[in-house]
Amino acid sequence: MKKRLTATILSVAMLAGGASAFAGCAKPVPDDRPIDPTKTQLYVGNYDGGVGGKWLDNAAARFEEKYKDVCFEPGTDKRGVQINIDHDKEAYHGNNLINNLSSHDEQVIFTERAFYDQYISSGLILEMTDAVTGDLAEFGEEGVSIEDKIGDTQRAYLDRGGKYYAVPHYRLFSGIQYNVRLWEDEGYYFAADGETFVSPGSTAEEEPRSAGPDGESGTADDGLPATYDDFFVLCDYICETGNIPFVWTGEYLAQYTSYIYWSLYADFEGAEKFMDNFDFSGTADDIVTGWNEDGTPVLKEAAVTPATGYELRQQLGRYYALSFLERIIDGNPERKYTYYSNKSTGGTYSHLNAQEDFIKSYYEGQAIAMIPEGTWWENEADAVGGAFDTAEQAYGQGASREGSKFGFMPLPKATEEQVGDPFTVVDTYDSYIMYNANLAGKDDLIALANLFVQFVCSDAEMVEFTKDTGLPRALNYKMSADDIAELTYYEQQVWEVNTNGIVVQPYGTNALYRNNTSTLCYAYDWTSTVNGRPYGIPVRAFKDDGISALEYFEGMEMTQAAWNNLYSDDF
Amino acid sequence: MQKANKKRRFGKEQREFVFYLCLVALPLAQFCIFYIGVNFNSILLTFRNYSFDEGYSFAGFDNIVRVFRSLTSEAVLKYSVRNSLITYAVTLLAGTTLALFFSYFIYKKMPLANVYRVVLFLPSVISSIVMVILFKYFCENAIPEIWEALTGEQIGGLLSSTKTSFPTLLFYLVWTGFGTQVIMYTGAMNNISDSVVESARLDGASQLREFISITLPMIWPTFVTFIVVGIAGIFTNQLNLYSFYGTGADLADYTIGYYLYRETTRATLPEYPYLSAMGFVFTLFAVPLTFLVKSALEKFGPGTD
Repeated sequence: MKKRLTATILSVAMLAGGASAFAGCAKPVPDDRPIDPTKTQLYVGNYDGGVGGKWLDNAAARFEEKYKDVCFEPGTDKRGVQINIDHDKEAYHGNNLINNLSSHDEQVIFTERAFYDQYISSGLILEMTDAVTGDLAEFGEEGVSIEDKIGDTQRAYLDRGGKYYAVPHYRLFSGIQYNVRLWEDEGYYFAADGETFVSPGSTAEEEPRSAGPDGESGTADDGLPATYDDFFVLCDYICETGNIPFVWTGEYLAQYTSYIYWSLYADFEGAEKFMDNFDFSGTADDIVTGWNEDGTPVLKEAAVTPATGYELRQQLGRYYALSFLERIIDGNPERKYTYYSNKSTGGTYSHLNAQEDFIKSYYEGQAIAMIPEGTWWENEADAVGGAFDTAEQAYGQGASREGSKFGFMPLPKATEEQVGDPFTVVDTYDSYIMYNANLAGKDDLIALANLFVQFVCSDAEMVEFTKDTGLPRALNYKMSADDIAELTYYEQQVWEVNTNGIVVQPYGTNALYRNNTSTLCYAYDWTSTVNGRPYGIPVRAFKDDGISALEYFEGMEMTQAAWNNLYSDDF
Repeated sequence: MQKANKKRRFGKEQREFVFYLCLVALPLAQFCIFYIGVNFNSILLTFRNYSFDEGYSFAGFDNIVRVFRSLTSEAVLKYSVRNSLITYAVTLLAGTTLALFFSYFIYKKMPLANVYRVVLFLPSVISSIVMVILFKYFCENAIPEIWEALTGEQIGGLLSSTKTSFPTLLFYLVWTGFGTQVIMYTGAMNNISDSVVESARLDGASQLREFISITLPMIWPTFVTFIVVGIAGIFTNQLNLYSFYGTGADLADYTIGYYLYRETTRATLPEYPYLSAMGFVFTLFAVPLTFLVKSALEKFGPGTD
């Protein structure tokens, strides 16, 4: 009897265990709201990263309201639509989504870091051409489609024989962010002579500033360092006034410090030459083959093809960008100036910690002037309990997101000759709107999804997106002066760069790029081998092992044989 | 009556069979799908290529050749192989030796033996990610502060410096690896007959002699199991790199296990065949090595006679 009882208990326990395992597969209702059976249900998944999901909640509420009396399922009594949104940071990102999308209930996906070809070839996503090419007259934009709003490079990449499987979602770029209020208070702007600094607290009207990296007076970058040398004069001055030039995360050191050198590289090369990394066509005229005695580079010109892509690892822009980073790490030993906060070396110091210190330090004596970040950082720091929240609690409204004054720094140029060249930034992170293949055959729901996607891609809604997040959508649209006035100072600067800078869309349609997207995307591979040791994080090579930028750069050289070994199947 | 008994007996057997099925069905299904199926697919991929435009094609030994070329030319792979071997050597020499030492210490009920048992087993019962976070904060925040307080000199965190990260990771691996070994070894040691030990004592055997001539031979099968499992895992051991750094570990700290995991999580379909080939190549190394070591240990190990 006892044996039988034990067996029964064991069996029940096993069944319960098995059942719980299967129950784990069942997706909970993503939204807090109960399902309203009188409405058509649309399930939406949203990558809840730095851009967040507030904008989508707002857009969905407006959509529900607009179509509350419309029937989307003919033959039923249902009226209106209920949009159930699952915000998740892990589920809708990168390979996590690729691996799990087929088991998701969500039908419309807002994602980031999505490798387009992988989704199509795996049959994970559904064609959405009707949404992309359909007229937006419903939203007051007669004769215009989403396709018309997509940039040329991205359209070429997304258009697969007249079929579209995704719509570009948002546009992110990274670089150096700075505290404008600190610049104003301390007089960190270069004066008109380009050599001295303006008086602390002076305005541009009171004391004219230098022309900045664009070489034109009267523009947004006036007074900012025009060249790398100017930048380090500024860093010295920041230290001299008792402040710290930089802070960054030690926990994600590789990623966040790459925002410095990688942005500088793109800006140095400009759109056309930077795009060689993706389209593998054209001519690169700045391939370094050696150095003259006076330290100037010996350059060669090389035709860029998929077979010669390895040459781009020796583009001059990479060296200049690395040397810039090396100078930040070295500081000014003569004057004993360190250009970065000692917290930045800690492996537990997160990007959120760095954001908080960047914001708060202004009020705490030793201010931090700059942080390498992406354009999403203000939005990320604005989360409940985030950096802006705690800063506002401690230092009042002036420290809030709305009350702060941060800027997206137009990058200085490597040489005097480059001053005046346009500011080039790169749209990263492959953010798209896609349909889960689970919509196949559900014509009514596809029609509803088309309408919803067209709705969020209408000009009015894209403006709302920008107001909610401070970020531009990756489609062409305009913001009125009134709309722009509603943005924070930083967001206005981001919008300015988005509209007046050159935004590179880093995509290639060739087989080499498409078949090796994960290694070639964004030209992110900056690995180097110095004295037989591999390096992937230049900051560590400089700081811990005393490797110079030149050694690092030379170690990045790739042989044709190594390139062929990796990629020859694709050319 | 006889017929009824037969029927009842048959029913019992049937019930037992159903019970047995319930017991093994889930793990068996899991093994078939996630081990046999996955590995079979990986082996197939080794000999295929994939392109988004052309789909799959037969690649012969191309991917394997590519792997060998990479192993001889790419610094990160050379370091990964080197680190994998160092990791195994350290866990074998330091980890196993210390585990045996601590187990013997506990088995002999020396002072504070139970305290050691708890302290050494604690990392195995606490969630690994919690342990990683605790250890990370200790190495990155506490140690630099303690060092500065003692010497006045500022140092970086042990896990974020190119000079100290690898030894620190090895230390962590050895330390957290004690738990299972100590439990298994002490379990095996406790099964040694008291009369054998007492007889050795009466013959005047020292503690060391007792350990070498009695304890070690008696726990030899357990010892062999750990060594062999360790060999089989040389090229899958990640050195906890993913837990500590995510995908951002220093290239010079990579192990083959971490390299393969990291590359696989970020790769797209056309990149899988190369990674499959790499896994296949390391399996070709690991499998014969495992059998060789197992048979050598069994053949040349101490007997219990």
